[in-house]
Amino acid sequence: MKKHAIWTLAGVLALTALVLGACGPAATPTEEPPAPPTEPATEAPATEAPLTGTVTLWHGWKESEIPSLNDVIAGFQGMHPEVTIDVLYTPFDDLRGKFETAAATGEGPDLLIGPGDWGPALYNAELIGDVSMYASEDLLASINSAALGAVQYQGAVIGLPHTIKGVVLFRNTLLIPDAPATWDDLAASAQSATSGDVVGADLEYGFFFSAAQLTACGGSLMDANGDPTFNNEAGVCWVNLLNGFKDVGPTEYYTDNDVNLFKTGNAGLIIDGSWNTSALAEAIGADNLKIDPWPAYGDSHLSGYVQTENVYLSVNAAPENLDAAWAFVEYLFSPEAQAMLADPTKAAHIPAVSGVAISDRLMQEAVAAFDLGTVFPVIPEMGAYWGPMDTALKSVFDEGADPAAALQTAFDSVTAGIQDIRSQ
Amino acid sequence: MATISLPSSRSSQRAVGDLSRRLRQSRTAWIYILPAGLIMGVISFFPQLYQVGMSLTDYRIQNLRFNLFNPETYIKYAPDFVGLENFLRILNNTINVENYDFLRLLLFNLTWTFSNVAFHVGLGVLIALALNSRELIGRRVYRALFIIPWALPGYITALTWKNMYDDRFGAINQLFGVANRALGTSLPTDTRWMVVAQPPIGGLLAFLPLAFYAVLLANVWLGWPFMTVVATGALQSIPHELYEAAEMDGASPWQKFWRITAPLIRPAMVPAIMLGTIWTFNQFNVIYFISEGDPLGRTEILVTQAFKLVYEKRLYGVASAFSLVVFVILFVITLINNRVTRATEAYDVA
Repeated sequence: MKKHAIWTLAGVLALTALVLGACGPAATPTEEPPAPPTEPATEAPATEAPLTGTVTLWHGWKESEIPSLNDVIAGFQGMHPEVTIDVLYTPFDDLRGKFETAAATGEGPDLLIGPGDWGPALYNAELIGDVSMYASEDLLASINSAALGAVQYQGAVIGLPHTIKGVVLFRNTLLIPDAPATWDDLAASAQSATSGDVVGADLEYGFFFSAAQLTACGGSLMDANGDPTFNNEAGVCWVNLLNGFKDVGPTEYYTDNDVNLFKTGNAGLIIDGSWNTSALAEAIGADNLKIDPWPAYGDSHLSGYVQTENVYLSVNAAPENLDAAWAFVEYLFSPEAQAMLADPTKAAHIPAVSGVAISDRLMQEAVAAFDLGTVFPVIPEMGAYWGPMDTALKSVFDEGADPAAALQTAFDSVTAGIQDIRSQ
Repeated sequence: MATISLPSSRSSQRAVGDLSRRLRQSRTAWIYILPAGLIMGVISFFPQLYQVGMSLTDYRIQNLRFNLFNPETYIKYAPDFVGLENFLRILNNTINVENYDFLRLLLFNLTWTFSNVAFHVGLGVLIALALNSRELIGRRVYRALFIIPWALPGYITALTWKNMYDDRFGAINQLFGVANRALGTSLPTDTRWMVVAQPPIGGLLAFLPLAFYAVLLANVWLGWPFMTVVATGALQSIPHELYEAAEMDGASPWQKFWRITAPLIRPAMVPAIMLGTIWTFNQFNVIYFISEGDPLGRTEILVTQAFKLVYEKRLYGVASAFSLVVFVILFVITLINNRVTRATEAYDVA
């Protein structure tokens, strides 16, 4: 337990640094003279030939986020009119597979936007490159240090984090006026708000959305090496807590029913990603939407995963387009573009770049909720957890399996999976 | 060369001469099929041979840069040769895939196939017989309507059924609610069709979860029109005089069906049944989109498992071996089907 506590403490410290850094002021100027610009500048100098080429970008952003991306592209092309940005939207669930297959056969985009946890596996498979040779010190210094730490892997910088996302608790204030301070408050207010077609809470307990709730029981999913640590009393407490979601209201396992119900004003509380904030605000009215701090549970609190979203440079980026591609990346991290991405009516991205002010109330609430969040593990071993943990949770939720036995089975499968990953 | 000129090999000489003569005679035919043969060789036979090669290796995502025609990729990207290990891992259930059990998969796949085909053929022939009645008003309209399930893209049908089975917002549970209110029944209105693990029927069928019956219903709806179309075509070719003669001899409707209808539609139905068996065995859309293999992989079939090996696990070598195992199983089923139904014999007679 002592080892777990240290790991948890390290995670909390890293997360705190990540979130505080995101809201903090611009980096304090040091007394050292600024390094001479060695990389392509954001604005093309008049004496140099204008940038040309076609930059291919793949992403899986939601409908509400795409207008911000279009704004960024328009802003970039205003400065570099001879650069074409070829954007391909791929549904998020298919994006990683499509990129892996394409990049492994020498195809695919120059740039990929994807979650931070994809990085190590893609880098190990030699599908994305080390960007440290392209990224200027100024650019790296502008990125939140904790977020930047999450992309430093095996001595390389495997991507650049541009936003912080996480799992949060959304509340419709028309149905539940007060934020629940504890789990018992949440259950009581949800049950009292349930009437007819309206449900007080429709809680998601798919593994991605629920793994961080281990924090509530004082447990952790894995240790610093990626080896499983959930197979103990804390793990059983966690599974029982999740199984208890059913007593509060309907539950979801990776469906959008909760989001759809919330959008129609028929759900009081849901657990979902901060990336849905603007869509939910548009549906029920921003004034009626709140993102609550995670309620207390015993001596701890509920929690949700917090992770970055990164820009990755494909190993297949065409040399003739590399300058243009990197100029676009640098523009993406400029205060101007970050402000476009942070537009609360569009992408509502919480910037991973320091010095970009967040004025929107909902984004501020999300940042506050991240304070009690859990850092998403960014290591290849995480790939061994998804299947076994989903099976364990489903077997308990749907079949009434014994939580301890289900976790033991998952532990064995995860251990075998980790060995397989490490042997590659 | 010397051996074929020996006097003792006169029969061999004759055989070679015969072969040479036949080749000369069929030269035009060979020229005609050459383009198609070349294309088939490139797009069909070569990939299949390549797949056999992949099945003997530990082919993973990092090996995708391996190029058979580029020796520079051999050292860094060539997959490790593992012999028959992939096949053994498939059969011994030692693939690191959740809820994987080869025998359970095979048993379920066979049950799924034969139960579906039985319903498809039974319903298909029954409805074709009903539509073949000359007294039926508007039978052309019915025939056109009954084609709809077959004419719709499979994945659209599958997604529609998936939504219908939603436990909270699906049409089926809501229909039960309407029935309860209108008729005073007490049908369950919150059934989690794809989640309930408790089998609705025990005994020998205890390995089939509720989701099996749900996807069976969807695929029966999807599959019977094809059999109806085939059976209708065959029924229309039966001379009506045969039935009139049978009636004069005092044959009952049951006797007319078994003595006239069944034998005469058999030549058309047997290939359709074989085709239906293969289609249903590999019915990806219904399983993948409706049940997604749930609960806990118990409605997974071999082809959806193979897809997940490639798409989710990126185990290309194992998936190649798995596909070959599926091919062998289908080949054996087809041979048995051929033997039992005497399909080839029927064609010889014709």
